[in-house]
Amino acid sequence: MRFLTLGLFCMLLSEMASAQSRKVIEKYNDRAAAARAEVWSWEIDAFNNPDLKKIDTKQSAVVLAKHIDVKLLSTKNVTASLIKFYVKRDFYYGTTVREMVKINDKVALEEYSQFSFNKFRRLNGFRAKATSIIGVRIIKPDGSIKEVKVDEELVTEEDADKQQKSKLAIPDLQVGDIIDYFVLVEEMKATGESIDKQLFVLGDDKPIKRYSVHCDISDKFALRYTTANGAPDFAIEKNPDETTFDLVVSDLPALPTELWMSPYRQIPNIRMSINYGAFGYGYGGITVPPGGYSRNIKDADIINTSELMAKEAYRYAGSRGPVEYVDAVRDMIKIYQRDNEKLNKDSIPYYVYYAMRYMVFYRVLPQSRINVGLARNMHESNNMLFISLLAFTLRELDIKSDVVLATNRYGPKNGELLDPTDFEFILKTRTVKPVYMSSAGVFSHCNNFSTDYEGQDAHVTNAVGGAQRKNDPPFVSKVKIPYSKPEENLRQEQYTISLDNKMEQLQVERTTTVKGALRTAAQRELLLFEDYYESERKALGVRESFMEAFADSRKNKSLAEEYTNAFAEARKEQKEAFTSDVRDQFEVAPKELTSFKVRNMALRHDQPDFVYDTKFSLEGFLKKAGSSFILDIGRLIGGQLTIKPEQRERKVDIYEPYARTYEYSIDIAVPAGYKVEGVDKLSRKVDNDCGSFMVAGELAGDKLHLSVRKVYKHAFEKAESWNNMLQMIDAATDFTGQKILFKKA
Amino acid sequence: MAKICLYLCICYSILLSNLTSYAQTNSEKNVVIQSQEERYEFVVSNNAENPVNVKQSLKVAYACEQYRTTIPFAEFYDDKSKIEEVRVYVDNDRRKDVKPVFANYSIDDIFYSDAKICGLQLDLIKKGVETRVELEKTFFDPRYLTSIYFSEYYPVTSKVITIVVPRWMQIEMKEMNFSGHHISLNKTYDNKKDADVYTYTATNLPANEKDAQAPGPSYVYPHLLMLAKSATTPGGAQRYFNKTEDLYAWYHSLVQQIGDDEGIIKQKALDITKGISSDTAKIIAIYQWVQDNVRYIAFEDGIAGFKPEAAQSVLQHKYGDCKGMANLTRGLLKALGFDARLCWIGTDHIAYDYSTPSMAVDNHMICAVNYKGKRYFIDATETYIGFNQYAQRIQNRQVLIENDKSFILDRIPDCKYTQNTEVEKRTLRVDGNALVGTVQHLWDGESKEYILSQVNGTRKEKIDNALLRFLNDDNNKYGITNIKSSDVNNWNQQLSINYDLRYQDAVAGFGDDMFIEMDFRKELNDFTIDTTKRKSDYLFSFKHHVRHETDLDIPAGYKAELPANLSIDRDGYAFHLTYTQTGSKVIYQKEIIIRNHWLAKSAFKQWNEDVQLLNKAYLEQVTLNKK
Repeated sequence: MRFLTLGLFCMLLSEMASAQSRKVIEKYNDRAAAARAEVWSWEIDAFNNPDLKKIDTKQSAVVLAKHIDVKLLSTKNVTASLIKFYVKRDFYYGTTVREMVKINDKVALEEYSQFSFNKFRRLNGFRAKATSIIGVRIIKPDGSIKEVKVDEELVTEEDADKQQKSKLAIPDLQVGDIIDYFVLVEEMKATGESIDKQLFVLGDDKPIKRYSVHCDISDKFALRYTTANGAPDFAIEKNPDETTFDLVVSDLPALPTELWMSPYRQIPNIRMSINYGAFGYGYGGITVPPGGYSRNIKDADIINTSELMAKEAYRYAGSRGPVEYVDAVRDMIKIYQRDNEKLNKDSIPYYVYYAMRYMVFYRVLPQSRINVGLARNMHESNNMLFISLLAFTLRELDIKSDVVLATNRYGPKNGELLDPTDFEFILKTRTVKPVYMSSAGVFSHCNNFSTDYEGQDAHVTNAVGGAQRKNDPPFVSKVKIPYSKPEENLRQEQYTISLDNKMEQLQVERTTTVKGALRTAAQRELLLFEDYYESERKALGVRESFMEAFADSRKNKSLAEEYTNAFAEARKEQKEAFTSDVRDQFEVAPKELTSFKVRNMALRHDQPDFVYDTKFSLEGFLKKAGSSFILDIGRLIGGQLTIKPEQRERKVDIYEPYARTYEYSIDIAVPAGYKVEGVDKLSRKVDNDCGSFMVAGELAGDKLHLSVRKVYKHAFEKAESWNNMLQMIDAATDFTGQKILFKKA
Repeated sequence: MAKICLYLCICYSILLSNLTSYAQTNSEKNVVIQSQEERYEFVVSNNAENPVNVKQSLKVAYACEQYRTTIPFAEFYDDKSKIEEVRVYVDNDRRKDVKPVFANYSIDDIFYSDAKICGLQLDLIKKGVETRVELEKTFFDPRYLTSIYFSEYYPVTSKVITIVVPRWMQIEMKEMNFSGHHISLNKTYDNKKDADVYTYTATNLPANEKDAQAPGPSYVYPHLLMLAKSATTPGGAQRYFNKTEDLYAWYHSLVQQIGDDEGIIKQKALDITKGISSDTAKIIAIYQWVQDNVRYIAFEDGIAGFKPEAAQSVLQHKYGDCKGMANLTRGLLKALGFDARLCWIGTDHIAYDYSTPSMAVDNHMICAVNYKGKRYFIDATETYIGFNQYAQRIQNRQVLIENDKSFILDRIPDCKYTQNTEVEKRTLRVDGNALVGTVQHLWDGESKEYILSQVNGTRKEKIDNALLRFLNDDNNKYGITNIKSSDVNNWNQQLSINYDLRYQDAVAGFGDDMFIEMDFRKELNDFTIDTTKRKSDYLFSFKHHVRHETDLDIPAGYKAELPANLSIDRDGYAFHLTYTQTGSKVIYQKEIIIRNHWLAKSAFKQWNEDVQLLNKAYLEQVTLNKK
């Protein structure tokens, strides 16, 4: 089903009256009829005379034409029919998206056969509302055009927010038809109300023969926009009272692939922000007067506005409410230092980081919901507020911090920025050895960057830390966030394997070490709150656990018992999680998981490697061949990435998550009475600029040792390197089929 | 201090913006219904259209036995019922701040339904403290109260269901699946109301199971089937469903109101069958046209949930629900002079048949055509099944067939597994460390329907690669070229796909020996059932029949050593793996039969043992030794 509630209108906050009066419906119908008449009469040749000759019939669907019309008008410029329908407010905001699509198969038929939308949505403000109008026509192969009588075909449901949702099943739509539909969303808004951003993406999962945009922007508005990845600029025309922005592009191919892409950096797009009011737009270094526009704003100006934002967040962190966190962390330090040795200045940022993480994710209050299962491990914080609380706490402890503004590898890049939100905010202590802090989750480490920022040229602002002082270390306004090395993001598996007497099962003792960017996902899947809470509580010097506190309190005594029950439940969940971990690694469930143990939870930067042991048996790897047995030794490295046939040709750059290494060290005891054959065929060595896959097998007495190492060397590769990537990936896939023979001696 | 705590709490929730989305799930043993009281009373209403109502009052007391939590509560209603009041009590204090949410209930695969939900979030604030929901609900028509279930989503310690039946109301209550449960009945007479009062008391009811591929609830859980027969009210006698004839009479009255336009339908039927002379071919053409051109969209909306949409409307819309599609099929066939009838049917999700006159008996409509003394059933909602082939969900089900003012009861054929035979024949030889040769596949019945659904559910530009990945099981060493398939748009014949194969590295060579795994697909490998978790019988989607053969040329100078055969034959299923040598060929044959799609819990142990043997057999290799 196609949900036509445009993304940019989804951020509604208010509710809709449960029923619409007949009068309103009648007015709506009149408005809808007028809107349909208007849209169908657009003088756009691609809609009026679609080019049906060169349609790629091998595609599920082809967009013959797509047009987006944006109108931001002062109410004095709005037509009488609109004013009659809507309560007059300060300005009118209308967006029409019209698409004409040739349907070539049943998948496309299914996609376009049902529509769901909200006719009315209440907006903030007295009697303010947004309205969605749709129109649908079907063009049959013989050229006849049938307009769908939308109002006769609709059914209406009411959802939990009392919003009425209309559903439309498109009648008489068949494979081979062309569907020509539009959705118009109209709003009357008042000064001060936000205007949702527009994002024009020049690409889709299906080819687009003609894509066009037309914006009528009244002189009451100030507009900013950014063109990215080679998107052409608008043709701009100044008319009395308004400016128009036009864009036409032709023959956009279907998007190339979904594997390792960064759409914001690879698909041409235009992002647009609009503000209303007598003063236009003014924030930080960016000023746009009403009737004006600003195109491809300089990064320096965005940085300037980001500084303001960081300052505001910092101020908020010190306000009543959030500041309680700051005070609590300061109290924790006092107690820690009373019970332990005094923290030296270099250690304070680390303590503060982990104490704040404890406050946000670990601490349990009597009124907290009981949530001690693995689901708790997924919690994340609001990054801006978290780092602002850290900055405020550190400042209280006489440590100043600066804010690093880094673009995200999967977001817009420098030079194509539009708003401060295009930056990720990272805290950097103004110390001789700076400490970086960002993106808190349950297992995040201090001084550890998200790999999403790697390779980015980041800007440092002293907006929070204040002006440089004499004793401060030298201020550097730019930092290059380094790429992590493949050996830093490592999954290392060590197996000691023996065969059971019946030669049916592998008995495996496994030690897994997970490092760097690979660590958090593994921790989230396997660690128990009960364990990491206690570990961190002790490390931070918190004197009493919540369980002790509850047990000692008459009021909360029963809570301690309830938590004990919940912990027991969570432990069962953890055993299932370790079983799943084995299954995920070997693509087959263990016959039995005998034991599991976490050696190091890796809760902090100074003990960064997550290490755990598992002991289990596996079936299905040994195959009987007469009196001999074949071991599927290649399968011991688990399932490997396989490139789909349609992905083997690649013309776009490769955005991998990060450089990484997978290592396997496997010791297999050769069963008594058997000798091993085929070890000589196991060795592999593919090593190129992008990655490597290397295998070495060695037989020493009754032990077969196999070492396997797969390395993705970089987080980013140019498209030209794809064949090198394929070599490495294929070598690993190929190895999974390798076998050795245990031959009866 | 309390203020600070509150502040911290607020901050905490700001920071942990996704707290609720990752809430801990409740264990099976945590939440229980300590007591539930349900009372149903038949009352006379002033509404002439619905002279008898059923008033329901419900009291459910929840408690957590291990740790405090929050649970959802939901009660359903629709156009034929109304929820009047909902009250929540926590530790016996009325909680007016807990407000119910009323909304349409979205059901997967149903485009529009009048089903609505009244939902609440209930806090179970402390171990041992009761949270209670009370609500009042009215059924406007006693026919729509089709059943009352005893078991719930959570275990129930004690449940009392009271049904007050005034003597002016005739109702039959059938006790279903009571065996094995502690349910007792106490029947009394209320003088004042001149009513019989039935009080069922149940204790220690286990929670409903959440297993996939399980039988429908009416097979498993204890419930009362409520059969409203008639009533004598001040407004006169009311006749409900005293017998199946009454049920049919109501259905038939709805069918009489459809208003098909025979002219339009006839013209379309003639268009579809233009140039076709044989009767059977005409029937098939009509069936396939409806399957291919009318999209199934489910509507469950009041009376429209029972009355078919007019044929010309479905024809114009090119979509419809099962009733609309059945009625259009009937119309098109009748227009060509065939004896086509509407049929009401309950799919195998429902335990009842038409010996029970109730709206709970059926959930589907199809079409029957009588031709040359034989009756064929046509279900156009099964998009890719052939004529005279039947989906498992309707097989062996009783059908109520229209016959003007009377009706006919019949059954859909109970098809054998051979309807769904899937054949693969591989002819291979050794080439270095590869196996090369040709492969032929054939699919029929529901195995064919499954493949065609997958093909047609894949975007056109991706079909070739998707098909390749299906055939090579995502193994890029299983190199497939030169694919030829039969017409995927004709599901009234077997689907065949043939291709050339080069299976690289399929031959493991060690010294003078070669080892070859003859089975590539290994159906049911590791398909054991976890008896510690599964509580329900297992239902296969359909009866399977897999017949695979691989013929391998033994290379000159080699002799073959063959694995042992496997032969398992049970009532419901069979696994046969055989290796033979014929001249210079090794022939591996595999036949897997699921005769009965319903695998009972009592058969799980044997099934698991048999699957283990199958797993083991799959691991055996053919050895080729140098002579």
